[in-house]
Amino acid sequence: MEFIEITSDNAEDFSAYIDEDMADDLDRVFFRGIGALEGGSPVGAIVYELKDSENEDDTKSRIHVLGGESDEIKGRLIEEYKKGLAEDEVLESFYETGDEILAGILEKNGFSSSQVEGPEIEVTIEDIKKLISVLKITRFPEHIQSISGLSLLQYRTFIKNCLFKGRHGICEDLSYLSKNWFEPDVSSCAVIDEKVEGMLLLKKTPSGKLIPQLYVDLGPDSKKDLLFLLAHTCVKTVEMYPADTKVIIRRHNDSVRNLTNKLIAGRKGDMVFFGTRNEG
Amino acid sequence: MFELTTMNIATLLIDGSTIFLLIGLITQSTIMRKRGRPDDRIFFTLVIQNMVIAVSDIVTYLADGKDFPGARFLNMSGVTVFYLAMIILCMTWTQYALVRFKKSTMRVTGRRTILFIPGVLMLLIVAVNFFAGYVFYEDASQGFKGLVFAVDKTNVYHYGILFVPMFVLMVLYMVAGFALISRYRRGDNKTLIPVWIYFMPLSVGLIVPFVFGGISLASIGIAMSILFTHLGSASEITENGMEGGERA
Amino acid sequence: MTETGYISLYSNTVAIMLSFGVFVLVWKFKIRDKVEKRILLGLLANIVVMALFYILCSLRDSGMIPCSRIGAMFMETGLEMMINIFAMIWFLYTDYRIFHSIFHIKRNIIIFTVPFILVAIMNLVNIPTAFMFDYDMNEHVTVEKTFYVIADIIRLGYFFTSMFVLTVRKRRDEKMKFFSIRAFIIPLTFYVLLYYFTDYNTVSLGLAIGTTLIYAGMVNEKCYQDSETGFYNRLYLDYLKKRIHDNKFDLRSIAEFVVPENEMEKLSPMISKQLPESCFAIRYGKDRIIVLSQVKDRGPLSMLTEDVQLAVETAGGSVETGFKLKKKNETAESFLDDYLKAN
Repeated sequence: MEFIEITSDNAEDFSAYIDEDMADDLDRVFFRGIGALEGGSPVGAIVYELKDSENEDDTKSRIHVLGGESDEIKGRLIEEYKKGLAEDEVLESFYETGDEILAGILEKNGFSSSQVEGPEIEVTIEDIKKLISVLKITRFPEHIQSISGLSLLQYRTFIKNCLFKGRHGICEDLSYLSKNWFEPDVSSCAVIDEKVEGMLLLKKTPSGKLIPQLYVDLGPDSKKDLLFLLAHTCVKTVEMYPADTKVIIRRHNDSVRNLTNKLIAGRKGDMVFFGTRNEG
Repeated sequence: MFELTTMNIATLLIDGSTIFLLIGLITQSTIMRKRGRPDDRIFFTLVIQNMVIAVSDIVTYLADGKDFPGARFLNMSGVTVFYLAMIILCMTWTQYALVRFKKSTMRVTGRRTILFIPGVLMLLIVAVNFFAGYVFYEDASQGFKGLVFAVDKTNVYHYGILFVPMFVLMVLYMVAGFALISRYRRGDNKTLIPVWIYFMPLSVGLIVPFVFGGISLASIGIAMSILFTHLGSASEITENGMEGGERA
Repeated sequence: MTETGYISLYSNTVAIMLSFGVFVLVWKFKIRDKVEKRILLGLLANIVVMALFYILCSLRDSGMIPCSRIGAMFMETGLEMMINIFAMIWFLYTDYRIFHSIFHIKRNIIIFTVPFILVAIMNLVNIPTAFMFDYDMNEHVTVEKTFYVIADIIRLGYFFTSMFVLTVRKRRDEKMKFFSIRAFIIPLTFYVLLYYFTDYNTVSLGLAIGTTLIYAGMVNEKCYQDSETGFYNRLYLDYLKKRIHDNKFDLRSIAEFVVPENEMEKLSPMISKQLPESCFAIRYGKDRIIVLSQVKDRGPLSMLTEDVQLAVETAGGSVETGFKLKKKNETAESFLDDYLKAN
């Protein structure tokens, strides 16, 4: 069996194991992919993402995808994965999946396993329409606009301000992402005196899902502007996307969790399998 | 018995305000003092001297004319300390102007020694005057009212023969300081603060009570003058980069 | 002249001299933030006019200025207006000091101004109706009524709210550490209490001293700045070292920009524009600017150095950039010391 690096160039060859959204993410700085080939044909793939790899904290790795023709191939992929971790000085791996079989395989390979409520919740256009009526904001002040009108300098200045305050949403690689990576017409920003003070950035995946990536306001009226940003994005989303569009919100910290509990009450994440393994 | 008159209350208020202002100034100039520059140290000394002047002024005005036990001693002591501190402050003011604006060293040598000799002599005279105007002095009928000033048995203050020369000497030192400031500020920059701002409060503080009577505004006048000079020059000179930045 | 009048004359004359002198100093003071400068000038001018009104009212109460009841009411109303205006400008000043945003003021203009406009209207209506206060022509005193207390509560309410907000903000914002609230509040409280207990009109003196000390604080803070570039200087570096030593500032990275000394003044505004708000840029030596921050990732620092490089090269200059991240087992103090020793 041969193992090769999967990049966005050859990801299509492994489409049986890596969906289009994950293939798109392979372009990102912290994503890695290893493919298994037998007789030149793809037989398996593993995709993982490095966390805290560029700072002094312990580097972790999250396994996003592990697929193969057999359990043996998956096991070999995990071994190959472990070799790759040494180079990046990863001290701990973890996974989060709804696939019970995958969780079982990982458990056999030294991972712990438990079932928890997943951090992601799925929201539909219909939910967003209800949210717009809850927010009761129909008119927007002049300073709330789409990011399409922002200059590169304005965008980068705001991203720098966010990053230097330790805010990066769910994108650890926010400093490496260009403005064009986000949806320009749906993502909103608050511009005061030509300076961006807040943003709500959404990413549209190749499969058509919308995923909020960053939701921050650093300005003097942050509480008010955060609501305006949310309302603006919701209105634009409803205008521009069909009714079957899904929005995936990742509740990565307590403030997002509290906000979603408040605005979309009663919505819970699916149960997922979660486990870790020490790589040190 | 002790009773507060209107003059006493006014003195308490004005001199108390001086102390308030100066304490506030000390707390708001901690960074300046960390620079360790000689003129900042002199400025701090000026502030302390001014506070001594304000306190002694209060003691003097509260004790003057009263007949409680120790009132005459307090009065004489207060006035003595007041004038000693005033003379020292006036000399320090000239030294401040030399170091700050003419960029001289702190050392008092050569011509500067000659400059300060009259002040030192006057200090000795005022110190000796404590005995001449208090210990050995009975009342105005003796015809002798101390060297610089005296406080008689009824606890009333009198000017002595050397009072005017002392006053003139103090004024000369202050004028010398202002003349140095005027001469050695960079005169070709439009953002420079007008020089009159520096000596206006002091002039009002010294001249008005001398001419019209009433309480002494010397301490608050001095406080304002040194405040304006120090803060004004700190902001204008730093901004114009004349002294360069405080670089690491 | 009455005792109260005498005291009032002295204290307000001193207040006028002090405020006027500081007004001239602030006018000539080259402060980068023009809005803050204008607000401070407004406060000082207000104190001068307020003190003049106090003197006028004292002379009136002493019988030295003959006037009718309406004239007396106009004087008193003028004084009240000045106090209102001061409270309003002070509230605007604290808001601006915290947020540095005209937009924030404009957005909240109703909260900032309506209560004061209301009180001002009450004062004007009071002239013919005397429902807030009246002037006793026999006793030569102002008689205050219940509605006057309401106006006072509004003013004091705003004043103490601004103090509270400033205090809270100071704890969170490293760059507000040098703004001394006590320097203003202590003299003002003292003189206002003196006024309430003795009737001596010393309020303007308290305001004059407080505002003077705020200006003194601003000049004091300037000592932390390099005059050529506006960045912090060695004194501030020493201050930050102490804060790092006390674990109050978690230093994680240092970025550096080396520019030829003769170009430093010209290029520093371009560099300054690229710097994020939550970091501390210090001029270290003739040709080096170091940026200390709490960011721990490589990405943002790369972004910063790239942006500075591009900005400087676009302006026709040259700069060497670099950055260092604190290692895992290194303390922030030794990280900084090692860097400074090596450079």
